[in-house]
Amino acid sequence: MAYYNKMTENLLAKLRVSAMIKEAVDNLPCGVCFFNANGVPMLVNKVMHRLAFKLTGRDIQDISDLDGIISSPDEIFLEDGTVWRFVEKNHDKNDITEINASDITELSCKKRELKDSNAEQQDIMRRLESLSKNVVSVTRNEEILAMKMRIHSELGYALSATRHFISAGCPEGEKSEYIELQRNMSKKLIGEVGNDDETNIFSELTKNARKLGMEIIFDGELPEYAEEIMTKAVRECLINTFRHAHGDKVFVRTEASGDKYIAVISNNGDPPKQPITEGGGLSSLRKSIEGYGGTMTVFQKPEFSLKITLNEKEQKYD
Amino acid sequence: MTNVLIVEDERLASEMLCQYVKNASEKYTLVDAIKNADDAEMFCTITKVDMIIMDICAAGNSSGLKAAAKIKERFPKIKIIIITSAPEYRFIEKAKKAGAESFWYKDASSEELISVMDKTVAGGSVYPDCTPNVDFGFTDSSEFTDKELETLYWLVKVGSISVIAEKMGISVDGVNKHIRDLKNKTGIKNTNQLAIAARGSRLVLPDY
Repeated sequence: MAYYNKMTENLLAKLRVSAMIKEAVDNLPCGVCFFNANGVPMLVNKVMHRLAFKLTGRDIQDISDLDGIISSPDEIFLEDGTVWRFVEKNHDKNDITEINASDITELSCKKRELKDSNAEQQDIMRRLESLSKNVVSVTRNEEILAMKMRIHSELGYALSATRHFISAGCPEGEKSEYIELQRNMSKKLIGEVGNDDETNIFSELTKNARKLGMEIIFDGELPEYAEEIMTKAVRECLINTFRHAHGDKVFVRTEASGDKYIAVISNNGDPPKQPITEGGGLSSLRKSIEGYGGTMTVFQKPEFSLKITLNEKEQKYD
Repeated sequence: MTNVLIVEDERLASEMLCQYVKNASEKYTLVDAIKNADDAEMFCTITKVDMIIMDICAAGNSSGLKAAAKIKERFPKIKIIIITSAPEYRFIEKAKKAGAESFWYKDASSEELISVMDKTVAGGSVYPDCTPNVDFGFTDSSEFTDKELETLYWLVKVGSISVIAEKMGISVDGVNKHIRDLKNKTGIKNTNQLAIAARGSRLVLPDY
């Protein structure tokens, strides 16, 4: 009899502990449930019951009831505006599976705010970038204004000198100085402050090369997106043609098909006698071309040529 | 005889510099005046150049400082005088690093360009003591500490506070403190406006 009393007492004690555990788990703000190896629920707290009912429309009978929820993307949005994350853990030793659900409403809200703020920040950065480009033209305009003011004072000086010349005559020794002053003034006024300073960098290079006795023979087109990189490439080839190949002409042949732009640059100089090693100039050029998402190939035979491929869509820089 | 190449993208300024060189002294011969700093290396390769008067903000967004560094590497004997009208706080330091012999502010230098040229040809080096002050909000740039100027630089270049902290090797709180101090000094309330003001005043021009 004493033995049965002891057993009953133990059983009641175990039940009390179980009830306490259940109560404690029910009071958790997160959802918790445990399943045995057969997928049968062993313990499901109130939060998890509520969540499962909202998401599946019924109580949890089996672990498979939660399959669709666990395999779905990280965040689960409920109709009441809360956001939850479900995580599955396997306790291999006991063949028990635990599923937790955490309320990440606040975190999710902060994440969205951060995303919006990042997008806004990027927009501001783009605007700053554009402003940065405009600074150059603002600078130029400021310099033109300063120049206009300087010319204005010089003009005043020239007029005073002219008046002096007319009224008092110009001493023989000052004549040449006076003529030079008038000549300079006229030159400045003839070319006055029109802003023709917007430069096309490739035509500027062509003009400068011609001044130095070099010639660029261009066959094809030069779209705007390729201008900067092609100017750099042709400039490098002009320098190398003069330095290493002792030539004076650089040939540029280009083809454009769809978004692809191919340019082959060669020269009229001596073919390379030794293998070409990519030093400062060519390796810096390669870096720039690859930075634009393009490729560069150097050919040595039968003569030197440089093949550049650019893709309008793959450009990494705006 | 010193052969001088001028790099200046603004036509009138270029014409005035050309005239200046031509009239300055018989010691100087004008090689040419070009607009794009990147083309200067080609001139140095193909023709004889002894001195370059190099504008920093040149045509096609080319940088006179970068071009100078490249030319000095291949032609260390060519003397380079960097010229600019921008009061960018790092330009003087960058010009020294590029190896340029001298530096001349177009609007603010008290010394005449010809005197700078003469001293440079004679083997000297002429640099201004400091960058000209520029108005900035309620104050001017002389009120900023080195760290505040550096913060402005990174603010313009990268924008993100955490990246600025990483670049400057300080904490995010440290960056925020510098920004707060800058706002207090200038009266500018918004961080982005600080960056815009830094660019607009040309106190910070990271592309050059």
